Amino acid sequence: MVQRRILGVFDRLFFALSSLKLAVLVILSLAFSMGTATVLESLYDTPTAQYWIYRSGWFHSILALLGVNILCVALSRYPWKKKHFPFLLAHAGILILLIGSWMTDQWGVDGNLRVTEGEIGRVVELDSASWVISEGEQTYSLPVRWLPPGVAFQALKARSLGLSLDLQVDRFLSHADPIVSFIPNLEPSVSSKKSLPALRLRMAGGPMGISQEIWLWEGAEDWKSFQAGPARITWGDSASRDSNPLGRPSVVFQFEKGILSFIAQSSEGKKVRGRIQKNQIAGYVIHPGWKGNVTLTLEEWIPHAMASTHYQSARVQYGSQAPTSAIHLVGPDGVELWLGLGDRASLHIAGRDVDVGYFPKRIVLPFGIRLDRFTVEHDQGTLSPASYASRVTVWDGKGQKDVTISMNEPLEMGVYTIYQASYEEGDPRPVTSIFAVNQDPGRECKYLGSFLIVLGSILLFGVKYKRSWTSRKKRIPLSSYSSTVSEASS
Amino acid sequence: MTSGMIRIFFILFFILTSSQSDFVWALDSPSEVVQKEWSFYSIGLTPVQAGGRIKPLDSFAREVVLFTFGSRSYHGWNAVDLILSWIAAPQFWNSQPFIQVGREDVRRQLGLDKKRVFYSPEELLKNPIVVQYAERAAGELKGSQPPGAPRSLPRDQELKAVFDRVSLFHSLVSGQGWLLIPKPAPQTWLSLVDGDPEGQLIRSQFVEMLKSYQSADQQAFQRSGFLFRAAIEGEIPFYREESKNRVAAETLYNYLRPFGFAWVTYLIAGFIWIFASWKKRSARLQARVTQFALGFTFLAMSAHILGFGLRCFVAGRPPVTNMYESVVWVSLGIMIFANILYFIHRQGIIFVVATFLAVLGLIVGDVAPAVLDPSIHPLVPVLRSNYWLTIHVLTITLGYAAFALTMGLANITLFQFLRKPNSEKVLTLNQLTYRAMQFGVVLIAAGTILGGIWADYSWGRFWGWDPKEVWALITLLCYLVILHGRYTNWVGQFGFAAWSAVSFMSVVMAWYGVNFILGVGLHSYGFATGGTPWVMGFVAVQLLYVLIVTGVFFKNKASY
Repeated sequence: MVQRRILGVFDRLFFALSSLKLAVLVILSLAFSMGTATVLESLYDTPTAQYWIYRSGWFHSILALLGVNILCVALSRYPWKKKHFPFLLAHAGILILLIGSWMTDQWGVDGNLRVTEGEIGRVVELDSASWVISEGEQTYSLPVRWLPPGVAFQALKARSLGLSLDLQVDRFLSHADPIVSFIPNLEPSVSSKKSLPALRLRMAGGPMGISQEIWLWEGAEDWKSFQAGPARITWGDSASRDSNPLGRPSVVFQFEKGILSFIAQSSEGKKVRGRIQKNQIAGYVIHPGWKGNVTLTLEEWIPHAMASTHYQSARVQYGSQAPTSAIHLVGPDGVELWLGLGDRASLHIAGRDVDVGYFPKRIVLPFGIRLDRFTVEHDQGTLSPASYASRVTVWDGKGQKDVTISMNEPLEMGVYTIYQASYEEGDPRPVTSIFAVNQDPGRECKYLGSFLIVLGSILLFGVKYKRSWTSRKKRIPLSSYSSTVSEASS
Repeated sequence: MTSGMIRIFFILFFILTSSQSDFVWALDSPSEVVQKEWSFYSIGLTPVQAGGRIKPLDSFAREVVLFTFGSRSYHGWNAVDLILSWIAAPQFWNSQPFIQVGREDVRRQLGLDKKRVFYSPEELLKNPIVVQYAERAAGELKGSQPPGAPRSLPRDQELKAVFDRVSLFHSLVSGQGWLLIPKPAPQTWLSLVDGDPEGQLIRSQFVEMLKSYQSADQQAFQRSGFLFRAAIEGEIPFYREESKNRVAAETLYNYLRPFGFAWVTYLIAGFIWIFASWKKRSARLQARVTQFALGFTFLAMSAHILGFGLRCFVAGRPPVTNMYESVVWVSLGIMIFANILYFIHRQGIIFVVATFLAVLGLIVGDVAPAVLDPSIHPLVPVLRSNYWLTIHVLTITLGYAAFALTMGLANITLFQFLRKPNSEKVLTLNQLTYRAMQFGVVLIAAGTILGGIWADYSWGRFWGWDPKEVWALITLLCYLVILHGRYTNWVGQFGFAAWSAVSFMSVVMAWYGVNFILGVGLHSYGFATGGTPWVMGFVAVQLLYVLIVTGVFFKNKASY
């Protein structure tokens, strides 16, 4: 008795799962959610649409339900007869296609390989990112799931990797702007023999009445000068001091023997000079004589400085212009730092030396690709590219071969396929090629499924066409199409 | 971009020096400006380089007229005649209002008359905003455009277009815009004023021709025009017979305007089909009328196919790569399906629906060339695979065609439901609708899958949730809902017709909406703007119609 009742529940469940109404509901909800996703993508961007819909759990559940539904419908027609053949083909096709897509999602590789002419590339960067911790010989990595702006981030703990460290990622910015400032370098001998001073000043006034903080640092070319509208503020040496072109407002700073000297020049060519003792720098005000009564207030002087980057939520939060993500780490003893995508840092925590990094996931190919020459052809008389191709040399364990990879002409190497995806503009010609590298274990399944769907639906409609055409005299044109189902379910 | 840059530098030069824009080899006297009643066919065959390919002067001139004036023809002028006249009498044209300023908000921004659409180059160049824009544009063009730059607003695009129109006029008048002196591909041809010793013969022949044009000597014009064309053809490297034939075919295509002829003929055929299926007559008379209708239908289809074939030959690829081309192809597809269905079911109503849909499609292409650009452009690299382009795009657009026919038939069915909801005719119509839908479902499924295979083959991605492919799938799902819903008691005879009409909205979205409204994704080679109010209007009318019919149908049903 008990067994029969359980069977009854199972029957009812099977009946519900194999019902056409469920199929209609599933199809409708799929269509509706995909439509919403495209609108989201248009309003925001692709990652946002993927997070909320395409890669979300509930969307995958609907797809799974579709699979179960199809399976149950097919089983409910058992024992199958000849007339079920087209119906079974088409629906088996969908099932196989879904399985193939799931395999791609689980085990597939889809990344980018960037190679410049003359160089050998073998490291493929994937879409996802991870937090990497290494201590001595050991390296651990923890995937950092991308979240769209405004979604709460759950802290990632190093302890979850079995590490006895209190280090954790407590904040995540999906799009982060780097903000660079300078801090005293406590071990100047480590990074550089020469001391690298930094100067913080504030420019105020001007026609727009703005107030802006400016850093000058001797350590890198980018930081040696600052362009503020027409004015140029430079960290100079004696050679560049007097070579400033006339008619441009400028200030040139120089530090020698404990004294900071400057020469300010207005657009009319009037010059102001000054010499400041080291200990009087902070608070010193320069009136360079520029338009709008601009003042430059020197705020901070660091004799031995090093750059320190932190990140803040980016101005541009959506679209291709938005910058990449960043994570914030906190540890014991007030250790905290920001890592942008691709950054690494060395930490000294509780007497241990630990390296941390935030990198795109990478895979190393079992072969190397050297870009010999990249070529772009243009439509005649224009700069619009007509085609582009990469001539490459490929090494694997056995030997090497020369091939050309171009649009619509990929290269297959074992399980991997390498496609010409894009390139970087260069002067006078582009020399960096971007390949898409792809490994797809579900490919065969998807192709087989596709074939079956098309074949099945042609047969399905073809057979029905013939049958309904002959039975047209019966004056019930539409019911004749449902004969397959009604006969089968009876 | 280079030619754009040259134009901008030229116009800046023009504005800053405010010199007269006389043609460099100053002609004796400004000619009298009259429209010439001559044949410009022969001179139109001259090959020139423009827009990334070699095309006949005739096409170039037509594109210039379309771009500056915004419609096919300037007061009945032959396009070549018009641009020759510009160069022959620049002062006259400089003060003629023929440059289109298309948007009211742009006119307001430029401080122009809100109602007036056309302005002279002179007026526009006096406008400080246009001048300011020119300076800014010249500055921007020096640096390269950042990749993935945000799309500009339609208003900004039009403002840029206004400026481009003025500079196009000036570049033609100065000789800068005439790329006539051949160089081996992919180099830019030299213009009339490039100070190079090359092309002396072409330059002198051009001046010869222009002088005879000015002196209104038709015979001399034809003779010198022929020599001018021969001079250019002689200097194009590797200019084979085939290229020559393509230029000739394109000129023929321009003159024949096969799609214009086709829609007029379809319209006539459509009315005859209405007459044929109006009511039952004697069998003999009925057969006559049907023959007559079929005759017109085939005549129109011949023109349609001829035009399509010519365009294939000229472009060297199946012409289905922009909105205009796909509208033409979908119209043809509708006719193909109508023929198949007609010869199985012998129902005249199929052709009534199909011809009017084809007329609608072709009229849109023919009447609104400014929105649906009819000129032939080179393709972006990823589309340059004739094999995949043919099978994927042709299949999927044929699916659109089948669904368009479905929609048309469903609308007729709905109308029939208002008149006689329980008639045999409703069932027959529903059956036809179902037939058309079957074609559509198979083709859209196959086309979407083929697109996946192409994407897998050239990008390594079978499915990437790209909006265009997602909407193709949504379209398929919408029709699958109908097909499966019919087996449940949710969708009856009326519901079938109503949903078949409504589901076409998903096709509108996949076909038009993704490129013109959403504007994101990998199919970015097809993005454009324009026509949105019209398409929205169509969608609104369609939905309203279905709503009203549904309301009336259920009210009648309740009152039984």
